[in-house]
Amino acid sequence: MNVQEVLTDYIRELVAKSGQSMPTLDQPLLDSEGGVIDSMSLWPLIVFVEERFDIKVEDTDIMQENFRTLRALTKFIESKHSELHS
Amino acid sequence: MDHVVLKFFVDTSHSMSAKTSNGINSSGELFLAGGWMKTDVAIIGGGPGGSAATMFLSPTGLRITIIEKAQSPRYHIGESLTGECGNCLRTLGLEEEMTARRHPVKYGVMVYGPRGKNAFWVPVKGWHPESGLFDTHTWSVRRSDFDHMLFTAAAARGVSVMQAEAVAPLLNGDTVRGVRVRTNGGTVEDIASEVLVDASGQGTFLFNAGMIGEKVRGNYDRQVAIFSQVARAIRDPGAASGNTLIFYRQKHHWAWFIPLDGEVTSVGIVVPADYYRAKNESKHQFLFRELHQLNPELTRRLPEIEFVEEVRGISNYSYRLLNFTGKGFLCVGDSHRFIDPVFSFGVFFAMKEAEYAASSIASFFADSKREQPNPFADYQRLCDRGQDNVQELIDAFWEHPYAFSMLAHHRYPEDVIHMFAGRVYNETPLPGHLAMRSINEKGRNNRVAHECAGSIN
Repeated sequence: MNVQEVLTDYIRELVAKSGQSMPTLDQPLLDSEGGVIDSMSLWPLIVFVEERFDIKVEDTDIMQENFRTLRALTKFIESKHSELHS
Repeated sequence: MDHVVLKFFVDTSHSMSAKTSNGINSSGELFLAGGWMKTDVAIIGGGPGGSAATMFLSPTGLRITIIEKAQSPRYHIGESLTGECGNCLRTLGLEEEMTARRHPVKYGVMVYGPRGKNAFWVPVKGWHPESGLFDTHTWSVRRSDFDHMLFTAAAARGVSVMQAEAVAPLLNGDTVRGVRVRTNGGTVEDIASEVLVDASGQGTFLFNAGMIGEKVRGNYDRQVAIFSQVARAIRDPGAASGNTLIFYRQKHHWAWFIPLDGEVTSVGIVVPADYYRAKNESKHQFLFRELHQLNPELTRRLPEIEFVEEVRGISNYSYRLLNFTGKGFLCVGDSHRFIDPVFSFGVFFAMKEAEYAASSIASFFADSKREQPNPFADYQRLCDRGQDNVQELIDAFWEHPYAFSMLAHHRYPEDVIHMFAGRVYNETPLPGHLAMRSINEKGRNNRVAHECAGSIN
C-alpha cells in the first residue's frame, strides 16, 4: 500500500467519526480551513505517520503547509522517507 | 519646599536649594535656576516598574526620588500576573498583603480554541534547582488597587515621592544628569541625579525626549484592544475561579477574561485594526457584540453583559526601542518595549526588569562602572534576552498554532510552563525555546521564499 492510500484510510476513519465528508486530495485537512484535523487530532496523526512510515517528524516539520491537504502530506512523508532511507 | 507635594514622605537628607542661573561646573554639578534637588536615583513613574525599582533599590541606602504625575490610585489595564511576577511580589515581602487584599488567586491560564474546543491549560508552577517544578500560584489584580499598594509600599521605604510631571531630561553632553519636572502647581523644578530610571510605561518619556531610539514597530502593532469590566460572569468553581481565561477565535482575534474580585471580571477583545474599523461601531457596541459572538465558551460565561466600567480602547501598543540604556539612564518595562498582551507579560516585565535594574544600579554605585561608555549595557542585554524569548513564544502561538500546540502539549510541556511563568532569562535557552525559534525562523524564510516566488511570477 502506498503512502497516499494509507493516509486516505486514516483520514476516512477520522471523518467517519466526525460526520464530515471525505476531503479530496486538494481539499483542506486542517480545521482552521474547515478540515477534519484539529490540534488534538494532529498529535495522533503525527505519531501514526512516524510509526507507520518509519520517519521522524521534526519540530520544524509541523508547519501548516505540510499538513494542509492529503496531497501535501503525502509529498512531505515521501520526501522525509527518501531523505532518511536513501 | 512648597513645590514638592509630599504625599507620603520626603527624605530630608536630599539636597534642595535655589540658584539664580543654570549651568554645570567643572565637577559636573548642576547649577539650576529656580528650585532644585539632588538625588542618587530619580525614577519617572509610580506604576509597578517604578515602585518595584524603588523597593528593590531601597536596601542600598541610595537616595531615591520617585516622580509620578497622576493621583494614586488610577485606572490601568494589564491585570493578570505571571508566576514569576508573583515571585517578585514575594521577594518584596508583599505576599501577605496580596492575600489580605483578596486579589483573585491564579493557578494558571486556560486557552480555549476556536468554537470553544481544544482548550489547553498552562498551570502556574514554581521551580527549584534541586526538586524541579512545584505547585504555586500568582494573582490577578485590579490595577488601581494593586498599583496603589505598590506605590504606598515604595513610599514607605524611605524614599522621596514627588507628584509632578517629568518634562525633559537634563543633559551634560551625552550623559543624563537629571530631569526637569513640573509640579501640579505649575512650578518647574530640576532634579539632579546620578541615574535616571524611565519607568513611564507607554508614555515612553526618554524616547519622546529624543534620548533613545529608534522605535521599531512590534509584530502586533496593527492590533486594537477594546475592554471593560462586567459583573456576574460565570467562572469555574472553587479554587479555579480566579484563573485567567483566553478565548481564541482566529489568528490575532481573541478575548481575555480576568477576575478582578469576587464579583467583577475584566473582559477585552483584541482584533486587527482593519477589522475594528470595518465594523463601524462604537466601542461599547463592538465590545458587547464581540463578547457574545467571539467564542461559544465565552458566550456561555456571559449570560448577561452589564459593563461596570467605562469601555476603553487602545491601539498601536506594540513597539520596541533600541538602545534603551546609556550614561546616566536606563528604561524598564513598557518605556522601551511592549510585545502583545495575550499571555500577560506586561506587569511581569516591568517588575522583573526593575529588579535587574536595581541590581545594575547598585553595581554602578559600588564600582567604577560609571566610567564605561554604557554602564548599563549588561542590563540591556539581559532585558533583550528575556523579551526576545517571550517574543518567540508569542510569535509561535500566533503564526504556527498547530506546531505551538504540539510543543506545549507533547514535546516540551515543562519548558512551556517555564516560559509562561517568566523564566526566560537563561543564558542557555530551553529546548522548547529553541524549537519555537527554529519554527518561527523557518516560517519567516518560507514567507520570504513565497513572496520572492510571487514577485518573479
